[in-house]
Amino acid sequence: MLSCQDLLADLSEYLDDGMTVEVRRELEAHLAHCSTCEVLVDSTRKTLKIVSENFSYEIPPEVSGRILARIRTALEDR
Amino acid sequence: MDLGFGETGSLLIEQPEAGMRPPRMPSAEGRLVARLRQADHAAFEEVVEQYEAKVYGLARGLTRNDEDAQDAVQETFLSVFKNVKSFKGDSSLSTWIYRITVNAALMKMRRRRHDDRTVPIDEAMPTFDEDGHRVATLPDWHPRADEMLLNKEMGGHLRQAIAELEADYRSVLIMRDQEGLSNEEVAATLGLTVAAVKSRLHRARIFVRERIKLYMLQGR
Repeated sequence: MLSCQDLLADLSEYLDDGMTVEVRRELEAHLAHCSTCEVLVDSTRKTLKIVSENFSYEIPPEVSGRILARIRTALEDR
Repeated sequence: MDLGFGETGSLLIEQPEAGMRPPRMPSAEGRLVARLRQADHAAFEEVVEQYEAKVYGLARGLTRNDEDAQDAVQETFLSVFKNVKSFKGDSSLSTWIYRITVNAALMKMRRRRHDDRTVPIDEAMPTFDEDGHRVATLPDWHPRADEMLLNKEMGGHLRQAIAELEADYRSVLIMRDQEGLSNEEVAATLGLTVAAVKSRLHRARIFVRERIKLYMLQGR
């Protein structure tokens, strides 16, 4: 039977679905009876979902315009 | 990865192994690179339009500073413009651009060493007893965690937790989880193996989750 430490070692791969069916089954068997690890997996998944869905920074339009203006100037100076 | 170049200097798509051999056609990226080399104004604008959001996200996440991020974005595209003739096609155009971005951001970060807010990653790693079970004297997660994660204040703590990551780990987490690059793209950008990327990502994710847990438990 896997320990909590074993599950933690595979957490990231588990979240990315990057493991064999056998290893996944072993982890899920552990999760079925370990509420601490179940919370760990669930909370990490939710935290990362927020990072991936809400955390990308929007480039300010004036920055975008300034970059293009500088490149145009550089091209013209060539 | 050898992408190969045609007579026009264009990157070429892979050829079929057998059967009828269609004429060699440059890939869309190869055509874009060829136009960049000819200083085609529209091609530069296309590159900026295509990559500026990811380049900015990466620079902002790494530098943790809006002014530095804006400078890094500008320097990245100017560097693409100045150095495209030396781009050999050993990596994809996107990987090359992200590598320039990471280097520009790292330069900015070096200038702000005095503003280092990082926390050693091992400090946040969970502890276990001899049998490999978690050692937790406090509840592991707040009962209202899902609701709290969505509020603005907790969003700020989450950003703070990412900012506290050491740069080697932060860069991987930002590229992979924030900007959605693949493990392979991150590896190529940072010059790491995929295994090293996965290892850093794993520790970075646990760090962020554990730091957020601390904020939640403090705010009960």
